[in-house]
Amino acid sequence: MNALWAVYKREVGVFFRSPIAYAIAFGLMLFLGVLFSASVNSAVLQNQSGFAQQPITADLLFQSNLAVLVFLMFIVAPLLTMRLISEEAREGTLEVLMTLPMGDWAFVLGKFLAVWTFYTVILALTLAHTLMLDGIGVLDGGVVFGAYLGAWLYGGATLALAMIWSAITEDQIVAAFLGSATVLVLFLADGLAQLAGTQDFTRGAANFIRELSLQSHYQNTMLEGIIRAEDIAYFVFVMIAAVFLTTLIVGTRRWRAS
Amino acid sequence: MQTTPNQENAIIPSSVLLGAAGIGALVALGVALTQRQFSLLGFGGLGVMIVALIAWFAQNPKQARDMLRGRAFTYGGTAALVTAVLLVALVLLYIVVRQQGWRADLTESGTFSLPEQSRQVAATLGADPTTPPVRITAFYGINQAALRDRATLLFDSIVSASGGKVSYQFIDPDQNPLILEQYGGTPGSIFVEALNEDGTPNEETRQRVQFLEQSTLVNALITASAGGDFRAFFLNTRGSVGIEDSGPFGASVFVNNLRTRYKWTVEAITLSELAREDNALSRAKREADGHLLVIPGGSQPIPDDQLSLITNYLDDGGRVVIFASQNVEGGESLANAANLSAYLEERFGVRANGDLVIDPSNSIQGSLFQVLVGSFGAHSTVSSYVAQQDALWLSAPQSLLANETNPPRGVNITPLASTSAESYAKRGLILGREQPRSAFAKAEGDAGGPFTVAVLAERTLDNARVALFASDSLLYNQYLQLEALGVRNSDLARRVMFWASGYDQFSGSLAALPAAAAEQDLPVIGDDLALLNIRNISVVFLPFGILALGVIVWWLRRERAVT
Repeated sequence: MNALWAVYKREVGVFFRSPIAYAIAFGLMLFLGVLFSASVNSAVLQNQSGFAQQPITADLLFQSNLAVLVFLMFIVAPLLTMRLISEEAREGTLEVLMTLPMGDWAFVLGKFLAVWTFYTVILALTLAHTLMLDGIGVLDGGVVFGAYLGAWLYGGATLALAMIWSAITEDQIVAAFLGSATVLVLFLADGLAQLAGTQDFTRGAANFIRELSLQSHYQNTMLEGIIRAEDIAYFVFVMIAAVFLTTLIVGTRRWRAS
Repeated sequence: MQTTPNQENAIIPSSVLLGAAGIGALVALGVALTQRQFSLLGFGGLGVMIVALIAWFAQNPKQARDMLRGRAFTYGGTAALVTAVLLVALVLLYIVVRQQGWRADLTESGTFSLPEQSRQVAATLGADPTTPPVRITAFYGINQAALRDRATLLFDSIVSASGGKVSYQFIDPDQNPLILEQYGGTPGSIFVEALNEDGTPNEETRQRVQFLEQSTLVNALITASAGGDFRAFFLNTRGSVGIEDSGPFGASVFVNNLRTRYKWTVEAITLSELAREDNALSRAKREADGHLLVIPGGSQPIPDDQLSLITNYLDDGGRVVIFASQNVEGGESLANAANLSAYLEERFGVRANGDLVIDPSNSIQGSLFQVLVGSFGAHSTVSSYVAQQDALWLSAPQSLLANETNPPRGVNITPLASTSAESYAKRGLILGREQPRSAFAKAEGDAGGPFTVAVLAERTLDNARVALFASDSLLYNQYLQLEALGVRNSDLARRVMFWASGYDQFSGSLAALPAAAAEQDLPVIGDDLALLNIRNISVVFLPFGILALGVIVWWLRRERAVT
């Protein structure tokens, strides 16, 4: 446990001292901010003009803001995780770390929790948008809670998935690219399932593909304020499986090295 | 793998146990991935896997310990096996969690749950031993998966409120095209139907639900479970609202709704048909579960001998709903004619006054003929209406007498709706003629409001019922599209007809109302300053603040590194 805490503390420190991490947070918040400001402006104008077929509510704007954030995780997650293990391997510090009296799981879990903490801070920053929305409309507390809980778990799952590639390859760019592709495929699996549902020979697999999709466990349920045990279980199990796989891969490196 | 003494004495060889565990896992996984329910076979497979593994561990404790600690297990080919086992275990666990179906609607407005009134309707349905079980069938395939996720919560809520009397099923339209064809639906359709005693669906009660919305769904449940033979006859006279008229002043939509959604028999009837001895109304009185004579306006009085056809029906415990209209050429109309008015006042303590109610504070679109009424009485038909949210839009209404204080013996009178205190009633106006606006201004001698515009009267002795409305505009097609804005014209007309015919008792409860608008539905509104602040904070302060912090951190680290 001490080893896990030590790795976690070290990694959190690295994140908050790394200009790259701030640059990623800056880019994300700037993109979200521009989009948020534009959509609020447009919504207020439409509501005032009476052109909107249905009134645009604060909940709607809040949901679209978080939907964009989780969509962007296919870029953000690999950028945050790409250096986590591959940099240690490339610089040779991984071998040194492996000689320390700690389990592989403590090393991997510590790093994962650290990057998830950093993501949580970024997610918390978007609360500023939410508070501003509450000032010009009425937000549903249940929707806000459900959507944030979902976005937090969604982020954890995508970070864990992207981290696997950081353990597999020493090249950060390759790790980021493959991580991005993995998250994007799982994000788009919902649409893929719909496509599979239209063909006779793939129809049987459609439900299975949909169950794998990140989007189907967030967009239609948690983002709307519906909490389902299966969605929480999905995100938690993805994290467990991904962290376990990463631990095995890191362990394999130790084995190969010795 | 070394052979241990334990293994040599093993009752069942280790390879057999491991093989059994593998087969058990495969069976469980196969069931989980291919079957809708994790059946007994799946649980059996899972059980065999666990028992076989425990038996293997018990027979070979040292080998098991060595294997778990060994390098080969951790990093070798076994690692792949362990990974596979973990993944299978997680998938199985996920399937078990999924089958529990635990879910909660966290929204403050209860978007995906039943509001209290609909919950009560479902509970009444569940508690009524005379109503059959009802099933909701939703044709949701993979392309409607998002809808299915949301509908499940609502359906669960209905099942729970009805105490299990209502059930639901999802049918994949792509995999079961024949069933879809039998129902005559399309992918995404929802049907509600009562079930026979043997559990087969009663096709005659089948209702198609157009939108996944709680009030529509609960109303369909009521209709499907109620059944019954209810017949309404609309008196066809000069100037009356046509039940097949699909124009803005016709009642075709209202009538079709009664026919298709509530399975009522609705027909037009003339006075000459009523004069026949064995007419449709008298037959309905003998045969049907409920019967009703509706007078949908009418611009001319009817002669006394023909009026007796209506009064005789009422005196024999009949049920009449009258939508009073004006005679635009001046003079009396059917509803406010002296003969009918005198009868109604004497026997039921109500009558139409034949004036024109004007309410300047509640007139609509600048027309003094259009009056909005938002004050409702205390009766089950209007108890769910909320002042300021629900209203009646009456066209050229006349005031009604409701002699509550001194009613005829054995008659209960209940006013349903009244105009505001600023309203007044003018007499002697000829509405069909062009008149200066000043003619409609309040003058000395005009009666002052509030005026009753809808009233119910019930004679307890023979259960005769009369409902009187101040205007026939409650039936108009043109106001139906305003229902979403809270205009309850057709809703109240339908509720009163249900009350008059006894349909509300028959079906257990009145129809559910759409959920009241929540404050979360309010649009976002902000002034220029608020928008400027939002732009500054979200585009400038927040991201560039992070950037500045990053630069500071970088600068401090750089200095430290230099030092």
